[in-house]
Amino acid sequence: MIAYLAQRFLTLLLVMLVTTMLIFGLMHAVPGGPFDQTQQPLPGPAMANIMHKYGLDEPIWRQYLNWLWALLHGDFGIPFEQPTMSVTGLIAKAWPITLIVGGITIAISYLGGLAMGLLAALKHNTWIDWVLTSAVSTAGVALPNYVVGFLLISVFSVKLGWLPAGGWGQPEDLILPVIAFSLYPMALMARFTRASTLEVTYADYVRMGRARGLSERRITLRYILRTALIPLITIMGPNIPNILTGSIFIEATFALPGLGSYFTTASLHRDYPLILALVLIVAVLWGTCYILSDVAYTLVDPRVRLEGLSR
Amino acid sequence: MTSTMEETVTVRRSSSSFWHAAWYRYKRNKLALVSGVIAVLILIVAALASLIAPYGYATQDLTQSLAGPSLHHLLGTDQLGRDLLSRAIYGARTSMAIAIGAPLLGAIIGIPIGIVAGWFGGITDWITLRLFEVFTMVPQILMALLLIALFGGGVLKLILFLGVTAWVGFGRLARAQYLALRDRDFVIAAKAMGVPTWRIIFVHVLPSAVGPMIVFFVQAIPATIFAAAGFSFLGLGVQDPLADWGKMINDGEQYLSVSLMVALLPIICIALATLTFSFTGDGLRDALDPTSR
Amino acid sequence: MSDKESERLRRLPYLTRRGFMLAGGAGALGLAAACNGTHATVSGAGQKNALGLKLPSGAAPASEQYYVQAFDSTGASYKAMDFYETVYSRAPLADQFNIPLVRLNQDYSIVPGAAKGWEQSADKNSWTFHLRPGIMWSDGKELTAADFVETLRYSADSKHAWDFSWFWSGVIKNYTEAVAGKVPANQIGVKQGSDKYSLVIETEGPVAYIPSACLYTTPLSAAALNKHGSGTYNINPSTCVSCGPYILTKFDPTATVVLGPNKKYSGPFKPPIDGLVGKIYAGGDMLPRFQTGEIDTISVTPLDLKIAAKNSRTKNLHLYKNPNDFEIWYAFFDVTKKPWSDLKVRQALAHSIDRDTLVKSLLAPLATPAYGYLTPGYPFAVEDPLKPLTNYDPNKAKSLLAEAGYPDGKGFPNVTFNWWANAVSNTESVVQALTQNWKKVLGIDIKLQELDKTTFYAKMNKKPTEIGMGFVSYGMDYFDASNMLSVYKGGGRHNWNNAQYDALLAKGAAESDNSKRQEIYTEAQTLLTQQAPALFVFHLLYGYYYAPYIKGSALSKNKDGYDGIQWPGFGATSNSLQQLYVADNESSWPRQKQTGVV
Repeated sequence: MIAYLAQRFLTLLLVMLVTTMLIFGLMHAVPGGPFDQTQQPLPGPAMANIMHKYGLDEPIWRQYLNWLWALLHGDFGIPFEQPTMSVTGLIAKAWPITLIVGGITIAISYLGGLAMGLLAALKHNTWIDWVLTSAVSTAGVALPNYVVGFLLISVFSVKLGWLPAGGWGQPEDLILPVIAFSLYPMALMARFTRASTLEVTYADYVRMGRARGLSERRITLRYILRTALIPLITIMGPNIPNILTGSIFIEATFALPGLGSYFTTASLHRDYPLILALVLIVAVLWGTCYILSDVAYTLVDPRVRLEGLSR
Repeated sequence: MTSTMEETVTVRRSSSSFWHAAWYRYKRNKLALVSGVIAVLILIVAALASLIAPYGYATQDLTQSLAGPSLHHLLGTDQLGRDLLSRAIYGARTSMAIAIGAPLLGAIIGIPIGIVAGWFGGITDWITLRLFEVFTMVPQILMALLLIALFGGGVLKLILFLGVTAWVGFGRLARAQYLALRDRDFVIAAKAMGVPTWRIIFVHVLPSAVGPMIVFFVQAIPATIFAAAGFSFLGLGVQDPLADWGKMINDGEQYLSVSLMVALLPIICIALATLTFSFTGDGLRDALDPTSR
Repeated sequence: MSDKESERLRRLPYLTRRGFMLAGGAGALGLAAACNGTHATVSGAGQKNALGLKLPSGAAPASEQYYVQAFDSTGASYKAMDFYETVYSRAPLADQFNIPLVRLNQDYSIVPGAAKGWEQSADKNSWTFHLRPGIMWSDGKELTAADFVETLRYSADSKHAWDFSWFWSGVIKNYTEAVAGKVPANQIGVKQGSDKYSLVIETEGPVAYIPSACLYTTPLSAAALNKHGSGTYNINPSTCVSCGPYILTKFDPTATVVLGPNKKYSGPFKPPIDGLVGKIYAGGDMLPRFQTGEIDTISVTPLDLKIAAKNSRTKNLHLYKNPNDFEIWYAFFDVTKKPWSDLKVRQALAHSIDRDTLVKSLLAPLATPAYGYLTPGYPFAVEDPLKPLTNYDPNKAKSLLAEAGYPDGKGFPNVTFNWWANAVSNTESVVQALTQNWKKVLGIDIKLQELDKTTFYAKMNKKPTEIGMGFVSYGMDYFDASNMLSVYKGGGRHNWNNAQYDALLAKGAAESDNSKRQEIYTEAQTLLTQQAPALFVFHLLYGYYYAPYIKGSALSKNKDGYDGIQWPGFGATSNSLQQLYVADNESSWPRQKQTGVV
């Protein structure tokens, strides 16, 4: 297992390297640079000076190596958007907020969704199934989260005044953003859990188990749940990095000073150091997520082997 | 044992009666049937938009900005005085084209890749997995910005872009399903009997694997509409004045306290489409699964 | 002034959350419960504030004489607090640590600042400014001509690569050469005159508008500049050196900038307000923040007005309006490409815009229809001679298009109209109204293609320009027709090269007689509108709300009937600094307590 994990993480490093190279090229290929001015274009010498100061006048491959070299020394550079701070400082300020909201969202939505989906599947074709499937899970999937956010704020903040409309600083600030953010993943989780549980519930070997006299509970836990989890891990696993890196909509709607908005603004403003740092974060999260879900497969399905899952 | 088995519909070898049986099972599910009809209706409305809508999607009347429902405009108007009902109808055309076209493209690209990766294993699988990872890590916004700068925007390019970025989801799912199923008894049995590979895949594996894929496809529909809306502000997306449900929500969100309908109508449309396609998908999944009740 | 993004509420459309203030939003206001402004039991009239100024009657106590403004950090980057360090990356509340040579009053006239008088030389090739003695920096040194000389030399230094060096290029002697590194920066035409209070500016030929341009002479401290090597010493409270009424107390570029009173201030203008707070927001709606008392003033859009009208508190607030930086929003063509190379085509489009309806339904009350580049009220702006050249005349438009060879729009080539989203000018709706307009009147189908802001400007500013037809704006940099009109000078950003126009501009810049200048610039504006390389759609008006306790003559109507704090805003370059104060909060408007001020 250790050898396997080591091999996977090394592969991840390779993938990250390739990805950063791709993105480096992509960033520089997009028209417009980080220091273009709008009303009056920067005078030539000023532009040349700035480019030189940030090392942007060197050939791309040299810039990449410079960046890599600095990275290996722990220096992620200076964000062009906030030149008085460092990239690490910026991220250190913004990410914890996103992580807190994201962490709670994952806990609530995944566990809640799992429970809802299981219940709906086990009570297939009853009214419980119908309500959970249509009302809750479809509503969650069909409503964009900023609309949910707006609705929550207008009801609970403006009309009732129970909860704050936004901002960050008190525990109450967490409630509405988490609800708005978790609706979609919870609904998704519920739908997939229900679908894959249903797949399994009527499978022969489960019926065999029932006929053999095993209790419904034992069947559910040992057989249904485990098999149903496989496609779930495939689909819901990758959602975790999405949630942990925040949603620009949620953060704008609830005025949360988190990381989510930087993903868009960094690209829009051609903030190269910030883009690369964010990509690294995403890469580490995704890579780890894939590795963990592959490991999870083995725990859930004894027929699955770890060596690249192939023959 | 035999008594319970008698209640099930026997699965026969030939595919034509498999599909027959599936259709029969689908029809029996009233909810799925009704949803299917509505879903088809939505698609018909989308296709015939120019014939059905009372106004064009771009016809403005600046004096009627954000007006409520009236005789002339059954559901009111938006900020440029355009008829909301017409925009919703034309929006069906745009949104359905994107929401079905892009995941379809993603499925067409992703599912074969996933199955191939699972089938061949080894280095093919390893490369495919790395491709999954790289594609997920590259920020879509950057790619979109580059593509739009090079090729311009528009609905077709949007479908291409979203479809190509959607292949990862389908690929991973197909691969995982394939791997989960290939060691199942009935597949091993078929192999032992000498059934050719392609037949195994299409006739035996695919129908069982299709369940989660249908669910994945169906949830991709609203997700694609929102992704398209998200890109519309970058310029790679539906361009004004073309109507698109996701974009209409975006545009209408700022006017919510002045006119609720501007954003509410597309939300209802998306919710309706999502619901009906979900139930239809559920029904299809149930129908195609030979072991369902 | 160009892009003062910190003063505009630019936001990506989907980031707004306007809907929160539903009618009677008592809930939101109730949230500020603990921080409600209190009706002062003691008035501040006659009290002295921290700078030693006696407060006027009706003023709130000295402890409440601070002013809170909001800044949207979307797209902004904050590097420094001084104009001469960087213009485009200035942090909120920049340029408060000094006094420029001249200032601007409410009627857009130049009035004395650090300089008490000035005159042009007999040969018209230089100007001399006479400084007031006795203005001290907070480090004990006196403000003299040397500070201005060092600051301007710093701006021309090719190593510093100042991002605004186009401003003095071609104006101050040797400036262009210094920026290019051809001569050392100390060779530029800025030097001490006969004594340390006399500053001489030598120009490249006669330049009539030097006093206007010298609004931008907010000096750095020569001593501090030499000590630190750059102007960034002012973003650190411990190294901040100021000769203005304020000094830096707190600098957190993601949250807030706070300026406290400069106790060592000895300058001629003492403001009643002795503390400034700049609150930095990464987008989001400003109106709720204003309503809950987080900030004292906001800039509003027409949509904000609709929402505010539904709220019992805000619906009776007076809307202050002024042109701010006199923006013109216009559609431009690349006249070197078909079909825009044909004058008749351009004029056809010009005559087919129904500006009045467009402005009324999409922008009112915060815009006026535009017929030329300059907003009425701006120096040397005219309007009446321009109207017949571009008024809404569908029949004329149709016949012009037919003459050009596209009767009823038949055969008109495919064109793309590029734009970038800007909520303040409601661009998305405006461009759709424009294209619909042209379709209805002329029968031509123009395709809209949105670009993100960076890509749009990158493409537009390329030489040759890559945008065939686009929608853009310009706001002035200084108060003189030579500034705005120079955007269309040959070799500028729009690829329109007209020798006659260039000649007129050159003449106008050198001419010192104002009536002659008016003639020259009238001719130039007429030529510009008639040749139609651009279609002028509207001039933006900025709308402001101030909390009812913010009072002063800075807010009252100026000679053109505009009110609210005029351009360039509450700062050292404007005399609004002395004319604003915090009054008794009679209406119990919510006002949140600010920490760290005074």
